[in-house]
Amino acid sequence: MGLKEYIARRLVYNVVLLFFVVVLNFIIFMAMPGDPTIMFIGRRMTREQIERVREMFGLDEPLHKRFIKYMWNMLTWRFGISFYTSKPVYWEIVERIPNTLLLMGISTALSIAIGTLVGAYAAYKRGSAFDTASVMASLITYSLPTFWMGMIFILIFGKWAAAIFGRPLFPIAGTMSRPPPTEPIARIVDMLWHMVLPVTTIFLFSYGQYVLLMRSAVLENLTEDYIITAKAKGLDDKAILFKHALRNALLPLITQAAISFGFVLSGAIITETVFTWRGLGTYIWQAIQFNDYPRLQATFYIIALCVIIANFIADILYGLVDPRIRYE
Amino acid sequence: MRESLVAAASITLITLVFLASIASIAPYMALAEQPPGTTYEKYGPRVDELLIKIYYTPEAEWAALEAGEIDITDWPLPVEKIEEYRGPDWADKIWLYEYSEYGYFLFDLNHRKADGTPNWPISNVHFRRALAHLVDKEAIVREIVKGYGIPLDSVILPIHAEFYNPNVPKYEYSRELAKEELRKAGFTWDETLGKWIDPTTGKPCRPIIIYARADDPYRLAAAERLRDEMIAIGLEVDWRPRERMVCYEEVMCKYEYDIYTGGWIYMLWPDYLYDLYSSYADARPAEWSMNYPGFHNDTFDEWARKLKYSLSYEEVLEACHKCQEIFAEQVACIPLWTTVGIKAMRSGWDGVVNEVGIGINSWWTFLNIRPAGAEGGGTIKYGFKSDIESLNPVHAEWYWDWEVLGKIYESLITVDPFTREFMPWMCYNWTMESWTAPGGVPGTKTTFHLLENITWHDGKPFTAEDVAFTFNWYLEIQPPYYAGYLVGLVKVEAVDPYMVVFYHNVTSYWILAWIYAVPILPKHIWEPISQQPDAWRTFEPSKPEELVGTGPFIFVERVPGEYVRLKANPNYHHAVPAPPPPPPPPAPPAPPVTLYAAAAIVIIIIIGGAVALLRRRK
Repeated sequence: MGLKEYIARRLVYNVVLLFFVVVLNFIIFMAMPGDPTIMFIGRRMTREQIERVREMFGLDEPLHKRFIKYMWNMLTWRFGISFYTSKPVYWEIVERIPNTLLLMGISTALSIAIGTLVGAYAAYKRGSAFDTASVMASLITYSLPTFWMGMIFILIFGKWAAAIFGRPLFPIAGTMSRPPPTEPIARIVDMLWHMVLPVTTIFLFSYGQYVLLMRSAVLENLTEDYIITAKAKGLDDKAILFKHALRNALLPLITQAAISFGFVLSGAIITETVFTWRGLGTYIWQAIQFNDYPRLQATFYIIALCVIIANFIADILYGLVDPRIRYE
Repeated sequence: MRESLVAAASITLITLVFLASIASIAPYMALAEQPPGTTYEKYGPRVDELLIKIYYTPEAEWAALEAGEIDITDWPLPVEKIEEYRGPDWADKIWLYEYSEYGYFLFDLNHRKADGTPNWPISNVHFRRALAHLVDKEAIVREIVKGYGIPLDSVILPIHAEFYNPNVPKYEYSRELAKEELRKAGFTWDETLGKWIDPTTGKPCRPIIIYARADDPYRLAAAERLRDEMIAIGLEVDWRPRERMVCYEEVMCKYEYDIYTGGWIYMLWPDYLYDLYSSYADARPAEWSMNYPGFHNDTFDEWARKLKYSLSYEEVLEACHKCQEIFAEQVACIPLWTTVGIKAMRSGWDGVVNEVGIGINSWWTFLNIRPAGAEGGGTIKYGFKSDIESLNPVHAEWYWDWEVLGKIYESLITVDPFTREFMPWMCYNWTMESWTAPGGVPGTKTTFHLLENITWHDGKPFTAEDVAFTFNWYLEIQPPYYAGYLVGLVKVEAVDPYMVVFYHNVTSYWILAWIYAVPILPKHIWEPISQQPDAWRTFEPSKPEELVGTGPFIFVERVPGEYVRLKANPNYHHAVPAPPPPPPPPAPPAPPVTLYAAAAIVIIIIIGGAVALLRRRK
């Protein structure tokens, strides 16, 4: 099987997978109890008025018609109109993507980079105080709930700092000052300043997995014969670690990183909510509150699509990076 | 001598220090004095700017309040925050205001099954009374809502003032009285089985289905108490704690329940007795009834109809009291409590209005508020615990959408924040008279005489055409948010630029409440939108030239998910009256005539005396 054939097969497999995900995405929401028109129940509307609302939302149509309409919308990326805001869902999502990409992208990249380095070094210094401390720290931060960490940061850098210094040390909410500075550079700095606490929260939560993964992978490689050979050749420790052990240990990391990046667009529902970060995470949260099917279906579809694409890329990368995998 | 000097100097120094310290504290003491929030002025706004900051959780909002990022909050505090803010650390920084909410919690009782047949044993009034005797409302308020509630015997609330009837039948908490009522219903106690025997089947009473809202800890705990009480007297319970949407489906769509932990919010006007509990409001077999308990009582229906459709206040008041009596006597449902909330704000402000049922984030607060000791100026920062979904006044639904839109758009009339009386706002007055609607139906003709000094934020004059356009367009498109307020409206006519007439095919005192609920749109902006199909739903105003109202604040900008800026309307029709011109500087006081006369007499005496003395020497 050649590389092209391999890619083609994976592609077909992923398209089929996507189809099932999209169908499931429809079934789940139809099976959910409740009705989006529940938000009108407090309005004391007449039956005719309620029926009119249902008609407006297309909820009066038979299920098969709704399914066909839904499939067409997913294929054409016309995600319909939000039940709640009556705005096109596509534009609502596009509006929020930059914030989520920025927050999740930076924190994921930082987690991977720092987690990998710390993990590798901990493995190299196995049994040392650094190893023990980094493993312990990773386990602790990985096991702490993100909402709790977020609240603790708000408490320390917001409330307590304001009590001591008269103002919070870092912004506790929002993506910018309210109102923000007008100069472009000051605006960028202001946004970065607002990212400190949410990025740190997500970073602390996620970097641990890379530390542990990398540490075990490097440890496994350090016992290999080629490392002994490298030592026998008189290579220094840094070269052995970074040029030999780390490079080979990176393989399992690719899958993990691909999955992480696949979920970047899903946002961090909890962290975004705690820090009032207007991204896709908070968008999903609001959609759940309002039973806004078009919003939820669109976001779940995009997340599934990203994860499938990321896995597809990881599959190909794996073949390219790992010399042991051959398509022929 | 030296000791005396030292003592005198010391006393002087101490006195000076004491006076200085008082002087330094005095302004702070003045700032820290919390206004009672029970008075208001009908003009404003006094601040220069209203900055609304958005937080996605109440916790983030309270952290912002503590950090001084916001001045006023939108949401009542949880018990632990109230305790914290009452502590010495926050006493001079954060003010707390208590208010009672326009909402209530209750045990809904299902009177009929999905097929329309009576839902035995709930359909029996004695069985319902037995349940009512098992509810210890005082304990629920004391132990579950920690005192932040008022036990209710009626679903009309004490804050509905005259409409509240305190003399309805009450059901004392007592297991013995509950058992007595069960016996009156025909149930007999089987000692061997330890169960109540149903008179209709001769078998043990079927399990009573309780749906409890699992997503609301207070409602869940209240239902648990009732469940335990029922079990304690030998009734079997089918306990179903479920999430909101599941409850909604089973209770309001399928009607397959016996008891449900219901709750209603924002019940401003007592006509909801008709909307929620009259036979008219039971849509079964269709899903989704407002009267999902299926309460049917002819006498109640008759009074409820009077409450809804009488034109005179006296008739409405009497009907409201009668409805409450029947409701309680029949135990249509079991009212539990109305929430007492506490909202917080930073200290240092004057003009706070703690509106009945709303609290300090009342519309009137934003009209009246100003920095303590000042006549006006400054920026008031208002925290939202939720994002704004839409600023389209035609289809905006969310509470927070209207917390912004309500400052920009206005209705013809308003209500007093304490007495809830209707007051003219964009008009001088109104008159209501009978009118024969098409088909010979008795209707109501309501005439408004508009103020002439009102302009839209873009400078164009506000006229009767704007009012007629708004209502007639809404009649055509029936936006969900307003549909309930357009009941019976036939047409609205602009008679002249400052006179507008509403024609309803019903007679009802509440027509004023319906008109009050609809803010007026500028015709010159919305007419082009009204001509495009569906544009009223998809149009999302985001620029100052699109969000044009007549209200006290003018829209400046909105960054979604972050903040909204509004500035004071300098041409507001209820602007703060200009202060009277300063009096001319006082002229130096002229010496009184008597002084001149006395001086003259003294001079004359002196000169005369001197002359006489000189003459004698000669």
